[in-house]
Amino acid sequence: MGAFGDIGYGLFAIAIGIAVSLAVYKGLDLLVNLFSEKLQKKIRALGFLLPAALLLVVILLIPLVQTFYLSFTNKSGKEFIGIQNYVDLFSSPEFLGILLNNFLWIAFVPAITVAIGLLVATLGNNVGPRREKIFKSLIFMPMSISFVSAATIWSFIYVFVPPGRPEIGLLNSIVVALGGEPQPWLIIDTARFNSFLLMIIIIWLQAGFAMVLLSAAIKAVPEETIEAARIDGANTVQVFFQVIVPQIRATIMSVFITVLILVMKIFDIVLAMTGGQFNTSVLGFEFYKQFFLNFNTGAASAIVTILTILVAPLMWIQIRSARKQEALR
Amino acid sequence: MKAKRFLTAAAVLAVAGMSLTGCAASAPAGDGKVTIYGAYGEAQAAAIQAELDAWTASDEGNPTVTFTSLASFDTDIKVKIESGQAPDIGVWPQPGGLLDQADNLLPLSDVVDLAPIQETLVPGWDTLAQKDGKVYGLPLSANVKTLVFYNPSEFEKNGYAVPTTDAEMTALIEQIKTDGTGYPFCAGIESGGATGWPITDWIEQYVLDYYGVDTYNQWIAGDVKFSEIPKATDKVAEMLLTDGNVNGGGTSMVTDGFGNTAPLFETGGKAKGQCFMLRQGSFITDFFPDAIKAEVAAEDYTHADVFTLPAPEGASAGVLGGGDLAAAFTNDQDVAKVLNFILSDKLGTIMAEKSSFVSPHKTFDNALYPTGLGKKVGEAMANAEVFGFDGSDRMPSEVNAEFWLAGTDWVAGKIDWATAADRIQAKY
Repeated sequence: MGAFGDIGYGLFAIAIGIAVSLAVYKGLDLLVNLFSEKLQKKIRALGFLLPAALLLVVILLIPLVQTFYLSFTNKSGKEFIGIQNYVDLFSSPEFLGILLNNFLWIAFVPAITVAIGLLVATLGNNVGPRREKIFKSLIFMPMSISFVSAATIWSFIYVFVPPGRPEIGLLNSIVVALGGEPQPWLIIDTARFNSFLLMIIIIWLQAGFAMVLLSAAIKAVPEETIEAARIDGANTVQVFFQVIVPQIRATIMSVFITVLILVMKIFDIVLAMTGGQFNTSVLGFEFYKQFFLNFNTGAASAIVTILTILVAPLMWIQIRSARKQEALR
Repeated sequence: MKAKRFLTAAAVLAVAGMSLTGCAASAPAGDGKVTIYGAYGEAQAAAIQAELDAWTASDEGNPTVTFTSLASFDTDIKVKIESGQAPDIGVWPQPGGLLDQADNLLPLSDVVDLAPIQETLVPGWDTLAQKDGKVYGLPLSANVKTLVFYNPSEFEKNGYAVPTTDAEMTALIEQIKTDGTGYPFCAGIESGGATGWPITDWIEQYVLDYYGVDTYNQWIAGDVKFSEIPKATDKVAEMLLTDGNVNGGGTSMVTDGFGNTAPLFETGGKAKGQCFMLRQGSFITDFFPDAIKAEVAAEDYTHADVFTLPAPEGASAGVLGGGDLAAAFTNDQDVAKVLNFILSDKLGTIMAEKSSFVSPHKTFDNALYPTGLGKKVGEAMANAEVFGFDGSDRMPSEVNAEFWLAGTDWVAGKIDWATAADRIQAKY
């Protein structure tokens, strides 16, 4: 059969998939048509939302409830053991260290990302259109790199080689050129230094994303408001903080929260750079370890439940701010 | 949808087909056919089939034997057993997985006379797969981790001799440090998500040597605590964590990849980070620089050779490693004949020549190993006073993972052994 067979089956499946979807909607439409005209108007939209809602329930809501239940079960996920998993987690100093790491990630990364994005967007808007293009492309480029590739790139920056061996680490080369001693960067956990080194990677990746959205928002700020402020004698800094920033607050918020949620779920960078060793582990990685390496269903589910509980309010804020933004338009 | 249904149908047909052939194989005694399922890779599977074919042809009374490799043996064999397609003989890569299926297996003593087989085995193998006093599995083939790789031309240049006792090893370490010619050991333990496993091998080695195979097995089972093996951990600390024994100390060990063998072939001395010895399993030759690999393949051992890690004073010479163990599902005269052959020191004439086979028997003819390196590895096994099956893989996975993590923190100098031991023990 070979590759052609696979492609054939793939195309066949796509065709069937589209046909079935069409049939489902057509069927729903016919069903709705059975009702009185007045009712039809009301329920047609609901009827068309039904398949999507069902899918959400099946692939999101049910697993969520299931995970919540499993977090009260033992290692194999078959025996109910109450809140033991949570007690174990919160009484383990390692887990508290992991929570501290997550806290540091969310305390620093989103804020710094937004700040850098804002700075680059503003400066980029002031260097002329040609330079702006080059400048912004460079900042945006890391966005197109996957997390694991980024980790690989940065591992060459942070790498430490034993004394006497050919130096291949960029950071250590710089340190040595400046007259310092090479350092094993990723194992220095004093004041969680190594976690901060990992955070730099995400900031590097996400600053471009922040820049693009913020730059667009800044450009949408009506020129009149800025001119009016200038005429009233406001300097550049005042214009920026008191005229521009208040008008793009909604965008800042949504960029901030998007990065925040991404950071809370951070996993790939930790896996690829340190494997969670030397006090760099985070919730996302701990879940992976418990579930895929230790086969500990109960503990893994408890960790994910904690993560979900922490992320949920943020998502609510984001949805609310998105709604507000829409209301403004 | 339809595609899926078609695939399901095909799968059902395939399974049905397999079960038909399976039925033919597990017929009553004396049908002249025996099936074996194992976990060997391609080369080794081909070699054992060739050897079994030769054995069948050697005597008219011998049955025909079919050896089949299953892709992921531990999972696949369970499926086969549950669906009633168990082979006559299963060959497990782990004693743990084998004993999990003890209810479906026959005690080997029901099928064959164990005494002559066990007599020639390296001690430690005979009781490895034992449950309630009954032996369920015995080894066909082995691999060895108690090996020290070194660079003969650099040894010669500096006038060093291969150490045959622990005292000589200690003297050599001191000599290298006094001469300032380099570092005694290369010992990177970095391995991505599995960072730390090489240090667990070091510790296992000395637990086996100092405390014997019984304590070793109890330690793996969790009955002897990690804090109760101080001789072993002190010895590892003495060998690796003493100042100047490894380039850059523990900090370098945890950041240096285990497969980074280049410093072993360095000739620039201490300033270039040259090291003289690397303790690893025989697979490490795959991580040698290409030029050295080509030399070894051509049986040129000018730059890479191997010796057995000497056992410490007053300890037994234990060999750490792994292997494949056979167990019986059915009992008839043909199965008994096959088992008597594959479990004996006679197995290996073709396997040794065509694959990386090491016999678990003391009495295996060393001349059958085709290369100089192979002969030395075979010797390491044959001369061992006791064999210990690689331990950390047999520990519960959580304990194993923590052994890696805490062991790494210990090597990096972030915690002392008492703390590491507590952390690992807490996972039992």
